[in-house]
Amino acid sequence: MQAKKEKMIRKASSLEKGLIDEFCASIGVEPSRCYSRLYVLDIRGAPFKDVFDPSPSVLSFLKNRLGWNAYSIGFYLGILGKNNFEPSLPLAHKLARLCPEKIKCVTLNSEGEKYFLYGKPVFGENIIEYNSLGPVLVENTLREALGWGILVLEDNTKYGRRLVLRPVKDLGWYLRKGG
Amino acid sequence: MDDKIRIVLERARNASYTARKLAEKYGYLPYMIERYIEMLGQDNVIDLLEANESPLPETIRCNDYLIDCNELKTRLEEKGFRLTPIPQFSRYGYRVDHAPISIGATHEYLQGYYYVQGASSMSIVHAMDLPVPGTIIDMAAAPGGKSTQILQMTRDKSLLIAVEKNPKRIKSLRSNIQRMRFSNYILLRKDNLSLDFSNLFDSVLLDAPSTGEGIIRKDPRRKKSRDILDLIKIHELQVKMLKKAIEFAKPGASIVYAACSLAAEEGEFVINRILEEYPEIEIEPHGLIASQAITEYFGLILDDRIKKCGRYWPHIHGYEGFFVCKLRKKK
Repeated sequence: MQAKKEKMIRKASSLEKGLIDEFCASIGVEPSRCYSRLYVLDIRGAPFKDVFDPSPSVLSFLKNRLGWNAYSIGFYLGILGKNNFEPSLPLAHKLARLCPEKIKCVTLNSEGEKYFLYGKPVFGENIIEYNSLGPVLVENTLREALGWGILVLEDNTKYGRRLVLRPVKDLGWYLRKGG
Repeated sequence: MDDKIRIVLERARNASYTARKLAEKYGYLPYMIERYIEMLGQDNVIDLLEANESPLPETIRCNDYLIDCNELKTRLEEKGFRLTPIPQFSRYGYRVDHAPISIGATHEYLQGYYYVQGASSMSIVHAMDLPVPGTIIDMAAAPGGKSTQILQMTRDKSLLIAVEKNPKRIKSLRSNIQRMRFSNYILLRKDNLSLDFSNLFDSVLLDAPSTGEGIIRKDPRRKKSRDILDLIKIHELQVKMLKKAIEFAKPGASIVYAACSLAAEEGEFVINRILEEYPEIEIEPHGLIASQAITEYFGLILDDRIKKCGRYWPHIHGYEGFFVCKLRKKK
């Protein structure tokens, strides 16, 4: 889900910055690891906004030649809803090298990787390691980012208490919805 | 309408008996075959038509911005793929000789380690000047094969302006640029004819919308889907866009014009009109393995400088048909 119409790009407000910083804190990283600059693509009437971290050359061209009007610009950080921020896949790649010491993350085996990339939950037997419950960056054993998920402990009548990784956004999105 | 185009198409419309018989046998519109006979001669036309009956070999372009290409090859071969390098088209290119699953559905694809792209198509960017740093425009960018290749070859250090007016196709463009993890770009959903970028770009790519006669192997409907009037309209659009490309280029900058077509009306005749109108434009060698472009067609003699432009033929080069020409705007 990204911008459907070409709209104006502007600096993020402090409220919007707060939501993104809150997300960064939830995965245990400093905001400066997530972004350098925050710019938002407003879409009139839409319940979401695209957020970017554009380079100085992108910003300069946008300002001087395009009057802040474009369809997509530079590094894509994610989607801002009214009260939440959904991180992008490029952000997962950017932060992947911080796993496992400096970011909340989970590592899947190859079977778990397959399930996850199909947008399906992954259960404990396919989770090799993790350092936190809650929102996590998801990786394979090669330390390649696979996307974002929520890791929870669930009570199940058949299996008892077990780890479950619920996908939030996985690389399979590029095939399912990428266009 | 340009007089030369009118003369050519009137002649092509009166297809010979041989052209009509071949058109019937292979399922084409007769005027198309008449033009192929004019360019290739009767014997070579059969080779072309036979080549168009076989499937287009699948090829990929390794994204060495993210992964060493030998490592990618090893990873894919461990999964049962068989790959052969095609350095004559691109040092990043591989032909997929065997695929246990769709080449567009591997985890390596999702990681952005390669792009599924035609061999001729991936060669086109090698004809471009790619200054680093610099400002480059891809005027008809979706689905993003050449845009991502430009960003790859400039190591994401030159700013790319990628333009696409089709709302569905620009989604693919955005998705591919993000999948391959580039960030120094601006996407514009605009008609490139409406843009005002005078003398702005260090390098310009126009891979023009075309009849797609070069990819009949991939889409056999194109044997009959474009009549002569369509061809005239597309030719006029290509000329307009190339004029815009020249406007966009800084003095001294190069413009690479390409069209995924075998039609001289979409290649040599477009360039001929530009050379007639723009004394400040010169043609440079493209440096690719493409065959020499034609300068004589249905008795008309085109500007001799067009010999420096190139053509990819399916029956000679083995992949998509393409026209390519490298122009430079004199200082």
